[in-house]
Amino acid sequence: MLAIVPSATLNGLDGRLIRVEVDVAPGLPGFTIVGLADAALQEARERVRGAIRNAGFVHPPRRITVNLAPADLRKAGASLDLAMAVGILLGSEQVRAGGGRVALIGELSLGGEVRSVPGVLPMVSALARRGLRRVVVADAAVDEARLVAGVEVCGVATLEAAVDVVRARRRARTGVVPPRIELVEGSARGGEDGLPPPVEAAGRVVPDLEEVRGQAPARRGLEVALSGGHGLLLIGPPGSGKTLLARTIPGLLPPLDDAAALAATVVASAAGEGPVHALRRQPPFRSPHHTVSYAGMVGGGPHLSPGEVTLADQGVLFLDELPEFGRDVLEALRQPLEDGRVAIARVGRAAIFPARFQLVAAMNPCPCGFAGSTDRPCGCPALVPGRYQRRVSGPLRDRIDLWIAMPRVAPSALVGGPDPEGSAAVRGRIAAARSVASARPHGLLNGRLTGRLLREACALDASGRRALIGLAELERATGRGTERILRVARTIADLAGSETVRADHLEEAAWYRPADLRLAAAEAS
Amino acid sequence: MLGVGLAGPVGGDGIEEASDLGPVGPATSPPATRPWVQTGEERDAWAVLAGVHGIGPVAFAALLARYGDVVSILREASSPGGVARLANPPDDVLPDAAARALGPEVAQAIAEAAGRASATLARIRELGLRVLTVEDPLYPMRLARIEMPPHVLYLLGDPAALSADAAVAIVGTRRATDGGRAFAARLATNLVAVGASVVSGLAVGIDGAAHAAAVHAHGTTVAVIGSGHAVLHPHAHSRLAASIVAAGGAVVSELGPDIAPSKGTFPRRNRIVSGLADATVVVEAPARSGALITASWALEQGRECFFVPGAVDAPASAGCLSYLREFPDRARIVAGIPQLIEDLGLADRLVEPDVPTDVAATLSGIGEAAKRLAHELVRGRATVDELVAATGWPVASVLAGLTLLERRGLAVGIHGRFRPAGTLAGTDPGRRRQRPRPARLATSGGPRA
Repeated sequence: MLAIVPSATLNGLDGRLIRVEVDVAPGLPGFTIVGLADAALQEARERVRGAIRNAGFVHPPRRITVNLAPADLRKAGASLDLAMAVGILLGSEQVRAGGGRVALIGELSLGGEVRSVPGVLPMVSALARRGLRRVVVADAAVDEARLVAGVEVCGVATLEAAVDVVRARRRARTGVVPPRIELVEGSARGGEDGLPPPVEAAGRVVPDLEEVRGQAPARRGLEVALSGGHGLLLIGPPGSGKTLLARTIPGLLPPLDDAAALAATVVASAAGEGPVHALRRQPPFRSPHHTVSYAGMVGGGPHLSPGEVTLADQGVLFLDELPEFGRDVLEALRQPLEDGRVAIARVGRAAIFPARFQLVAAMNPCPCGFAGSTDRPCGCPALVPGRYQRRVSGPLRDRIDLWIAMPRVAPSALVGGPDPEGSAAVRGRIAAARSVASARPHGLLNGRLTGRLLREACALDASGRRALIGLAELERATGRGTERILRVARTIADLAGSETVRADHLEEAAWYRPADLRLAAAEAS
Repeated sequence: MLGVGLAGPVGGDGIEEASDLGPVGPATSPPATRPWVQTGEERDAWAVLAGVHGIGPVAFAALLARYGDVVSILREASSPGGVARLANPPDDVLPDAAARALGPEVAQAIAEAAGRASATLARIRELGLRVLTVEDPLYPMRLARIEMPPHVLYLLGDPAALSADAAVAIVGTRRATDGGRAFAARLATNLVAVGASVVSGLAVGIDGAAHAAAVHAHGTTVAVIGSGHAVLHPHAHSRLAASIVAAGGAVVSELGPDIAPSKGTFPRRNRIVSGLADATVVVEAPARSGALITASWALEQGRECFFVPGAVDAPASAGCLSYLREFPDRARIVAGIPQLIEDLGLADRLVEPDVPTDVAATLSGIGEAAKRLAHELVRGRATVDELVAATGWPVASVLAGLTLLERRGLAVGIHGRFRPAGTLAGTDPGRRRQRPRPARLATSGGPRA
């Protein structure tokens, strides 16, 4: 007898409705899965067989054929296990459906327990879009599935419990959390505060900004960069506090607005990084090691998994030791930095992942790290430091608006001096500046402004224009350099609560210009 | 066998040569005494012979002594059997041992160069080089006076730059500290202010800083390179070399345009650096630095040699200190730039109004904030943290003020440390000695009286 059970798989970040058709027919006992199933799915036969037997049912000694429709879509992962097992039970008439279509998403253990799978949120959302209103997921994934409005979610721990739902002996719980799952373009807006203290991925508590002593220009630059979503590069010798400063970022970013939080939550769900209980309001902060591979950075691999640029969507991508990253890895950042998304094409498949991250990077001034230090000589040959710093070139150089050199802090400043400002005060100013920027007609952060939008946002008066012309010399009078000054100056004015961009805002913005321009000036003097 | 068979033709060629030269050169000058004004052909021949790899001043002089003029040398080299005769002069021609130091491969190279003579000359023209022979009236007198002056200088730029009435060499290590580079730049700026030309070796580090500062101050500077012009080393300084020429200076080499630099060419070049200057100043030199070779040449050539002492435990100054200790009577110490200018005998050429050396004068017309920051920079505060602490201003104001100073070329900063630059670099922190200018006072008082 034929049974059809709806389920879903993940394709990139999108859920896809899959019709699991199970035919239990007379003939030699066997179990075949057709419909472009990958290796993990083929192994589902053993899991399903074990789970059915150990849950107290009978694995029918018949000819079982499972077809996964649509047939042309490659399917991967274990999310279809539960649907297949239930299909076999229905097809062999051990279970009779109690009415109403129910979709099932979950992996099975040999003992018959139902486990959660990555990407429940996008899968349930896809089912909802296709009109399915009742979904069975693993207990651990109930909170995640209930983020989708208008869907009855039923959490189950075992195959038996799932069968109960199918028999309609058990009531499903209705989703109550309001937001609709729709990925819409939109900028982050300051939302309600009062979240638990942010925690890094590794479980370490995020350091507070008051732990960073000295480095006034770097603290200021970080505040400007986060306020406007500008690319930031910190250059300094080991021990100057680059990494510590970058690690304070999660505590400085305002919480995500609904749309952004939804997008971030979908990515977190699809990446399978732990259970998702609520919308992720905390902007992601990713710091991949410099040995990260090309696919690890942009995404890809056999299952089209999202890469670091996508995991950092709506948040910050921090690249420590920037020049040590592979050249092709850095080159691959070009598209996401320009478009805010990354397109991955593989034979027969393609996916577009969001990648609206803010780039923050750190590097040493030279290979040995001590160029310009007064307390330790640099061991590099004469022209090497300049060459090392010029290695940051091309697309990256143009997308980094703030370049800040961080000399080592004198011990006296580390011990004495006034206590620096803490993260909370700075976070407040950043959130205020961001809301000013997003209140403009286009709603973009300043870091994404170019051309006409940028000129309109700045609206320089005569004295400002004069100042800008003078400062453009420092940028070798290039168009990109001038835009860079304008973008940063707009953010500085936002931070200062100023409607117009004034000369002193432009002057401060010009201070953050690329290091190679300063090196050239120093060589010529 | 060779010696016997070829003895005759050698003598014979020499005589024919003399008669050949008749119509070209002035017939009145005998071939033994060289013509005071070289003919174009002879000058070209010098350019070709000096460009041969392996011909130094010694070999050049020996060949010249044997043949009387270079046209004859090239003619001999391209005549049949000439290579062997060049390499093995018969004993009776010249008993000097040095004359026989010419290796057969060098003789072969001369023959090849003679064959390519027109191509070589075309190459020199194509590169825009000028050939100065030691006989040339434009050849700098200072250099002609040293032992073994280069017979030929290949020059890019203005030959008059070599004969400035005051010339000071600034040399030092390639691995200079920021402080060393800054001092070299300030010294060069101040030397330009007293009308002296700055001679150096176009290397990275001290040399480059001195050249660049001299160009920046619109002064004359001479770069002596240790390679041919077409293979300029270091390549990174090719733009600097072009700006030296554009500013009215010169880039010179004793090596033919396509001779690549090698281990030996740089020490050899150093004798020209010191030879082109009245005095040599070593800014920073670790032990066994190439700059010390220049210093040794200067002392040997009887020129004055100054050393910037540096801190006693600074590795970059170890070589300077060891020379000051080893040659207490000849190595002189640099005790500040004004003092050095006085020691060089250039103090009376100080024309103050042209170069505003006072902080206040430099900073007229710039905002109060930038002015205050300039004072702090001159006082030695380098990082933004230090400037914030000194002024008590918000960071944003300090950054904006620094930008203004940088834009006017009054400050530069790399690796997060800022220092005064341009005209601000030459200033002392506020206690500059005012020197009386009697001449100026007299002329300005004249018309009024």
